[in-house]
Amino acid sequence: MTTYKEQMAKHFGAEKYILACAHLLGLPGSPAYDVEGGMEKIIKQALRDTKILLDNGVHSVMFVNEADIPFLPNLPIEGIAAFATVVNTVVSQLDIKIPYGVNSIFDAKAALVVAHATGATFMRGNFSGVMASHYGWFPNQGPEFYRLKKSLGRKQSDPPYQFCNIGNMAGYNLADQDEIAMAKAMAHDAHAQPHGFAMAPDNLEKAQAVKKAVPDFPLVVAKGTNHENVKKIMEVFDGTIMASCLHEDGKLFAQIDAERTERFMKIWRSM
Amino acid sequence: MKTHKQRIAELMGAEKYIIACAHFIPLPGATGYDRVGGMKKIIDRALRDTKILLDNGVTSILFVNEADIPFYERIPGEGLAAFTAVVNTVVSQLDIKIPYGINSINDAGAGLCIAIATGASFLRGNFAGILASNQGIYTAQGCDLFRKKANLGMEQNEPPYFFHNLGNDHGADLTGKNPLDMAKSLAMDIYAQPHGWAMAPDDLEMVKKVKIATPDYPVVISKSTNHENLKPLLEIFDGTIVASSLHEDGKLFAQVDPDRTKRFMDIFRSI
Repeated sequence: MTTYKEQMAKHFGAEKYILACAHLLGLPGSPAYDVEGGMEKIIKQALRDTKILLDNGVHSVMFVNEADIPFLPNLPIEGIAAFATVVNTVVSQLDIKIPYGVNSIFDAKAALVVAHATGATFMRGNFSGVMASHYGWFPNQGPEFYRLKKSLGRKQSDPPYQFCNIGNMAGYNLADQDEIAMAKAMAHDAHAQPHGFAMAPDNLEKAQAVKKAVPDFPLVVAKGTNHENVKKIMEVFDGTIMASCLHEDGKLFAQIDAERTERFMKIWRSM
Repeated sequence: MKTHKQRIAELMGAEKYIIACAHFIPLPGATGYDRVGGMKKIIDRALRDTKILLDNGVTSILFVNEADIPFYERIPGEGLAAFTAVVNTVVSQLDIKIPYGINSINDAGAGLCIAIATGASFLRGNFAGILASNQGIYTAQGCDLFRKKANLGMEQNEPPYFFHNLGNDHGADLTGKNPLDMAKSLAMDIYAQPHGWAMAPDDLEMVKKVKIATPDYPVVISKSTNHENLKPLLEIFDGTIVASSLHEDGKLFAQVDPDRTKRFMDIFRSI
């Protein structure tokens, strides 16, 4: 039986892989939405950013509604429709052949429906725990998520593959489990398992311990990877989600910087 | 100041117009959804049907989730995302240059969000009243919908234009208003007006009364137009929504029939 770790390596076409974020501008309904620029502005920016990532040979692209901050527990319908349109348009216009994923913060069900509509094969989200963040508390949608996935005719082991956040990244987990406890608990749930975990790289020993506890699951870096630390971090992790480090001035909400991306990928290929 | 009738005629590029339905096969989440065929089957069929309509020179296309029956009062996320992806793909792959619209039954709010995301310029739906139908009660979302349109940066008299269903052809209106009273009352709401009426052609005296009472509004036929009655009906109505009559054997859930479509459009052009 193939492990999720092997399955993901095959999916991303490498033992170690990059999940490069294409952060979308504020979608309709969010405070950052530009009513003058409209959908056209959002699509143009996404096309530009994604093209740079593709040109530099990332393994996969993950579309994220990062600028919809502050996030609602359920992405409103104008956001879902816009999200699906942007992904659909970018994938078709750039003829994307590598895997692409969706992260609808903090609404895993919205990510699932956008993935189902657009053919995205992976997603990142919260499938366990209760997160208390400075925006309020976000209960995970696991129970509803897995039922929805089943109702769409997809098996547990089918795409979209789910990378589950573990640890206290975006808020404190009220279930009071650390990364190891969370990962172990989910790995037990044969009918409701993610296919990989995402955690911060602050404590590499902790990351090692997670890998040891759930050896069948890949572990990717959730944030904080940069040109300087990537070599060291990737000795432990199986992949890394990349965002700010590839942006202009390394800023979260800035557009992608072609030079920083090229430099990062050079380092990656030299590893 | 332009009337709504003039606005719609300008959009359609004609004084009398055909709004041809592209009925989708069931979307994800609907009882008839084909889990094996998935999104591809839905998109292939929509491309086929829409192309026949375009090739025969219809004035506009109306995308409808007709086969999602029985309808939720609010289309679920998986249906919303899929609806959006289908419209987006069909419009882009067929490079549609004529006006296209959305009818998300019976969820006009979802229709608005899909229209904004995909560039659709009109909607058909229930923007007022409370409909008691054989599938349950549908409450119009006027308050939310008109606010959403404004909040997303669109003026009342900008597209997407709204065709409101007048009359009881989908169920009884619990407000107890007849089509004439409803039309008059909506026409007074300058901050929350539809831009046109869709009415069944059963009671032509009532249609004439509505036209006299609200002369600024176009009235389109909501159903039952066929090769035989098109000519006399268009002497009264400004346009027609057409579906079954263009389908194989004239059946609601059948695919579009090129021969029936050609014959229908030949009649329209001879008027």
